[in-house]
Amino acid sequence: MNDMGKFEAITALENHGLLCMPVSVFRHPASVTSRQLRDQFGRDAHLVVRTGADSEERNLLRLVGATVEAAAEWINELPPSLSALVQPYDQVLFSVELAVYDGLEAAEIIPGIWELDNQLTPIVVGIQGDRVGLTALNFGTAQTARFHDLVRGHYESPAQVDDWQVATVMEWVRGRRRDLAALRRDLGHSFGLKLHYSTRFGLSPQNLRSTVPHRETWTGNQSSPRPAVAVLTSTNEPIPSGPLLLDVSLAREQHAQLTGFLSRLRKAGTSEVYLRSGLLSHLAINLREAGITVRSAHG
Amino acid sequence: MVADLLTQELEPERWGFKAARLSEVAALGIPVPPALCLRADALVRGTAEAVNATGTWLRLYRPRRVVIRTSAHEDLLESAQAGRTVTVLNCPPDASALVRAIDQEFVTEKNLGGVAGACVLVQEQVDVTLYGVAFSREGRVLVEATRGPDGVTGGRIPQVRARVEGERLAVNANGQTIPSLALIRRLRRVCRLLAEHFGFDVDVEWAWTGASVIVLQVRPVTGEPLEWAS
Repeated sequence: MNDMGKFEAITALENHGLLCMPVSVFRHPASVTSRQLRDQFGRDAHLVVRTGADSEERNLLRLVGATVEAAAEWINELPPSLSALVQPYDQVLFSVELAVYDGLEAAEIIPGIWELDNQLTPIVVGIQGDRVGLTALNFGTAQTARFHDLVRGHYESPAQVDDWQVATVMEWVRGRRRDLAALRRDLGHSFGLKLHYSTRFGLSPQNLRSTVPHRETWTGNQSSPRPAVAVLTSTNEPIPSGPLLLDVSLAREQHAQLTGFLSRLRKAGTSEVYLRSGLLSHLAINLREAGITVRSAHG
Repeated sequence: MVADLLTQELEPERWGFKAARLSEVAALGIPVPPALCLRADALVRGTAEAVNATGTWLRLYRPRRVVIRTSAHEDLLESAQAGRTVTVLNCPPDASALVRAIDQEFVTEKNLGGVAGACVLVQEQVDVTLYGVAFSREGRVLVEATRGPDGVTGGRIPQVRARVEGERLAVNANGQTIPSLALIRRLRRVCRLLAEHFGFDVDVEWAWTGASVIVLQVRPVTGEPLEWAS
């Protein structure tokens, strides 16, 4: 599968009618003005600026909830290798990682913002035509989710995914099935979408992933028995041989630490890990890209 | 002899198990449909007061449609005899017609196993989004649901099947039905309350309004579902 930079991802989403909020792209910018941003988003707008490289990289710089003036200044100071993607700020209520296959869409849903250090257990919804399978592993238990607003910045609050979120995701997928299928055909392979839900824009794709788990991960056709696993609770611990249960947390800004950890896993010969968090989470994506098989820790 | 199911606890030996258990469910504060209970032995002696009482009950609760059910010596711990009792849906709210139908069609030896200790329920037919059955045992709950009021009990293919074991929930739905976590959560709570109250694993027929579980019937689980066999 080919890596896809954020710019190409946004273009592909837009071409297939899947971009649900306005996004302005400034490729390798050096002279963005606040007036440009005001004209695009309005005088009093608050903005999110994400950055993209020419390949599919995660955990790049971003600015959240900035005024147009602050956003313009921040963009102009970016390294020349990065492009800026500017979009309106809106509070994210829940997050979705969606994997799109031929005849199957699998969504992992968590409350709040899904970032690298988020260890919440998602609700998993698999949609095959008009059939739906839903799995919740901590049913009835609120989890501590991470949110952001302009007054408090990042904050945590107990929350859970409920019927409304599930219905919203199902309706979104069913209403865009033709567009999703067309994008999959254009890409030539299954793909993933990271989506945020906000009050103003509803569910809006934020990024496009070129790697997703094997389809069998969701359909339960894996026949191999579960081996005994060693539990790893920190990225600094010695890595035992054999399959691992990873119970680790890595903040978004700790990407370098994650890279080192992945390198240690490879050197230790780790080929299979189990996660309590989502199979479509950032951690899972990075592990898969390192050639490691990722499975759910919840039987 | 008549009784309003919502306002008094009924003895099973006088009113049958279905009516008696529903009156206990109502006393627990769990929603059940309003129902007027007409003692079968009284109906045999004459129906004039039954017509008067049914007319008053219809004016009090104003149901749009009515279900007539028998309540006798079914739903025992050893033998549920599910489906043996008689239920007629979609009856119009007309007191004379209801009592005439009850007198001619329901108060029979076959339907009631003898008139002693049995009754006929004139019950509001709830008109909701989803109906079904839940089996509960030791923290495990199995749920099947359809859109029609007697779909699951009538043997139709369920639109929703759900299974809860501890904190793990698995739901399968079809036909554009959205699996409702709120329904399963409330059903689990209702099943737990009923099992604690009655002292047996419960088989609950229910209706879901989108906000509340309405209990239509409670009986003991008399045979272990295949899903629990392991």
